[in-house]
Amino acid sequence: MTMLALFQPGLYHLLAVSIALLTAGVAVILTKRNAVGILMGVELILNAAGLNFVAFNRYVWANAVDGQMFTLFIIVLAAAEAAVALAIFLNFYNNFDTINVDQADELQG
Amino acid sequence: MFTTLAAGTETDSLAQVAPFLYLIFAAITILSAWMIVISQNIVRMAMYLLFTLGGVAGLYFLMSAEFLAAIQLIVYAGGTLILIVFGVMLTSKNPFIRLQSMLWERCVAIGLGLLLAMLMIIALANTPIKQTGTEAVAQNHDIHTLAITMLSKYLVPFEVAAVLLLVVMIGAAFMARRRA
Amino acid sequence: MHAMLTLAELTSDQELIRKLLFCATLLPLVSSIFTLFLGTKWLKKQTGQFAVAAMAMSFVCALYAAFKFTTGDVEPFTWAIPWIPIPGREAGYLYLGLFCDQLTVALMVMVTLISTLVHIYSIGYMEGDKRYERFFCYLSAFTFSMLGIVTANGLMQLFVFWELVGLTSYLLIGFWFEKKGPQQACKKAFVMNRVGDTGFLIGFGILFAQLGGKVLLPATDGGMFDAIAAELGGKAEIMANPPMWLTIAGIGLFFGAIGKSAQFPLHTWLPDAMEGPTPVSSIVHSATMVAAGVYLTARIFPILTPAAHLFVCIIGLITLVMAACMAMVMTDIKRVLAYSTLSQLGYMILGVGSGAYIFALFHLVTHAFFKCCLFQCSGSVINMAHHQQDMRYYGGLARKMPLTALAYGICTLTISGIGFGSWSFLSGFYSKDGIILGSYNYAHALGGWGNLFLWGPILVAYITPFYMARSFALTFLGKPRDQHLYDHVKEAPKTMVGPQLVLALFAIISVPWILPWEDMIEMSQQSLVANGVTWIPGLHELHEAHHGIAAPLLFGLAGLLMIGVGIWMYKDGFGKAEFLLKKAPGLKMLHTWALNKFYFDHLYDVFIVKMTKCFAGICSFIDKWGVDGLVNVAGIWTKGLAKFTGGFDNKVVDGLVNGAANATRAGGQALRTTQPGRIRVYVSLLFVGLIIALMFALTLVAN
Repeated sequence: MTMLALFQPGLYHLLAVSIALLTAGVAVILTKRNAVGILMGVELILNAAGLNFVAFNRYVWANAVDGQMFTLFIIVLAAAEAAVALAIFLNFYNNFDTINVDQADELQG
Repeated sequence: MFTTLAAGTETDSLAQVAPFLYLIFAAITILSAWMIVISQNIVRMAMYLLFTLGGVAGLYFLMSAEFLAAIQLIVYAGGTLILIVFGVMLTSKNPFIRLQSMLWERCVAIGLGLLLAMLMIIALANTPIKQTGTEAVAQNHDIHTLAITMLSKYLVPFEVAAVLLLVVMIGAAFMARRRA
Repeated sequence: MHAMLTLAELTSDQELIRKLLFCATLLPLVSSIFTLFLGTKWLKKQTGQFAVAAMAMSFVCALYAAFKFTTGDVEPFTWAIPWIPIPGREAGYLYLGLFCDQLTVALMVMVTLISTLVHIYSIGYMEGDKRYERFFCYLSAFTFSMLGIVTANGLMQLFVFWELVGLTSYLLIGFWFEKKGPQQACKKAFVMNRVGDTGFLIGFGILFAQLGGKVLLPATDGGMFDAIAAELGGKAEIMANPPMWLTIAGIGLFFGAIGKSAQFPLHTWLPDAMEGPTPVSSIVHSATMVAAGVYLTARIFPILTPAAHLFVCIIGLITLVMAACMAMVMTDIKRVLAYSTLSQLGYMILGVGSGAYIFALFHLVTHAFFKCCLFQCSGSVINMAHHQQDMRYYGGLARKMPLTALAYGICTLTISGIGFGSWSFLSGFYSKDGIILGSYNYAHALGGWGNLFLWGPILVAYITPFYMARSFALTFLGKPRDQHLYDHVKEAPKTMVGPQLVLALFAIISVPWILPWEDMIEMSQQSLVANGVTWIPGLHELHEAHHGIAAPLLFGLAGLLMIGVGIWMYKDGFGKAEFLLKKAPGLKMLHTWALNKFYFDHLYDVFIVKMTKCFAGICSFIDKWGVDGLVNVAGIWTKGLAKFTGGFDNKVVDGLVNGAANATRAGGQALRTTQPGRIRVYVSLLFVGLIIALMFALTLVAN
């Protein structure tokens, strides 16, 4: 208990979580071939960014709530982005009968 | 630091458990995030994403951003994720279809991710950050302040976001409509 | 110096008259534009009624203006606005405006009245034509142009409307352009008018240059006659000692009138203009086109020098006699009338030239009425006779179309100038008598061979009743010569007969009843004095002498006698005439000549058309061998040069261009591999970029 009590999570701990989320998001985007999976990766990266904002707000600039505001907008944007992206995926699926992004190479050079 | 976060005797117990909670939420977040990377099943991935989002919400809560935590749960977990699940079901004849990625792809991805993480850790280590005290947090980080700020300093972005949502609603409905 | 024209302030009456004349002039234009744009879509069969309504309103305006003018003792006036600035000229501007005197209002009334009647007549005549609406558009535009000429206050403005008359007459004569005849006729009319207009422009140019741009009509401070008088020291002085340029300018302007009024050298277009629809003939031959020339000559009368007078008289005399001879032998009813018009125009021009221009204008008005009526009657006959125009197939039509015959008969009497002593109930007698009086004066003043100017008109005064009686007898009297045609003829519709009768009525009651004969002689005399023409003796005394002895014998009885002879000869067809021609070979020759229009068309064909063709051939030859040769040599040179540059282009320039293109293509091929079109590749690269950027930033920080 004492050890745990001595362990006080601070800014760096939260940033570490954020880095983990970001790298996970990048890895998801790079590995998944399912478009919805890629969308999930994007959500992870957005969450990492939100976490960063909140953490810095909490530990570095506690006099205001600007960081939290930005996180709020990020959430709104994420929702909007998810809606649009899914609409695009539906269209794509209707046209190509697949959701594999590797087959969406019509714009190939 | 977390001890001073919740002032007063009632929060002492919370302060006592705060490191535990941090560890638990952080672990949930990171583990389920990496499970998304590893998992090959899109439905499971959605499930892991739910956990990740919940973990992040918990971390928000621990940082005394209670409103954000609630929003994270409501909008993200309750809205966006459901949307994604719907997307999964609508775009797949078989929801359990596997779109297997190559091994070398995964290696590249993990390598790139690790490199990125490493670089950022180095960057973080090299960046001096001047931390402030936590007294202000108790006074300032309540929903009241948030609301005032949102409707004064951030009024224009707020309105723009509202318009954006409207546009997205129309646009998404238009794009996803059934064609005659 | 830019001297603005100083005009007298208009009185309220003058202002009213100005506005009325303005309306009267512009209404036909408005009607024309309306029928042009809305005729085929909206008005359709009502186009005719619409145009008639507009013309009738115009007539009412003109009539009211005339009423105001004559009853209100209104002074002639000018109203003008600056139009075209002419730098470096004394006048400073060419003016656009309106000139109004007795002549203007009289002609306005005459033109609008006749035009209204012709419009009404056209409703009947043009019924069923596939371009019915367009006909009224043209007709209204034609009337507008003529009204523009009448109200114009300067030579330039007059010339604009002059040309408009030419254009619209071209459109109207060639209205049935599908047929060969109208095509040729409208071209001929247009070209003949151009020839005359060249003279007009020369005359105008001389005046413009000499008078510093002051080319307004009289009764104006900036008017050209005052300007001439000021320059040369009084009107009497001018007439006594005229400068050469003035003579040439006058004759030049008169050439325009020769073209428009179809005088001797350029007369051939008028008979051919018969190819147009009959309403067009009736208006061209009466109120508009041909009247314009006489009007112009009368307007410029003050600047005509004695030499120019003589020239005008000679032209008038030749036209007068020649056309009358031709009218005697034609068998086409419209051609008879056409040559009759020419002859009467000759009278008018002779009248202007000999100084009796008031009578000439008077004759213009009376002639307009009876000639318009005659043409409408002939049109009715032709329309009923299935477009048979040859009188040899007519005969006895009076029984079928009595009203038309009545109108034709009245006008025949009018044009013949029937009178008793010095009195008649027909307007034609007075106007023609006035002209003969004028020419008598003139002949008297010249003496010697100048007596031709007296005997010519008197001879034609005998011929006119004869040929008119001939056409009347051949058409309406005797036995039908074509039974089939006769059976089908019936009286023309109301819209055609109505105008005929109205016109016949006006042929009887014309100006002498409004303006006394003696007053007109007085006016004529005064106008001569005012213009400094003192060398023509007083009309007064001569008038007394003239009427005391010659007039009753010469005209009153002569007219009746010749009508009797004409009817007697032709009542039963051509039998008696042919008998006469067999007996008298001299007459036969004259007859042949006249029938061939004195070979003027042949003459023009040989001397102008053939020579032009010959000249064109020479030009073509020079073109082919001279100019084309040069061109060909240049062409060969150019070809050689082109071959050389072509080779250079192909090898060197194209090589460069192709090389560049190939390089670009190779580069593109290489680069396109970096664009696989796969999202994940792009994202990977994105992160690689991010990593590199981060590393770079860290290195910067580390150093």
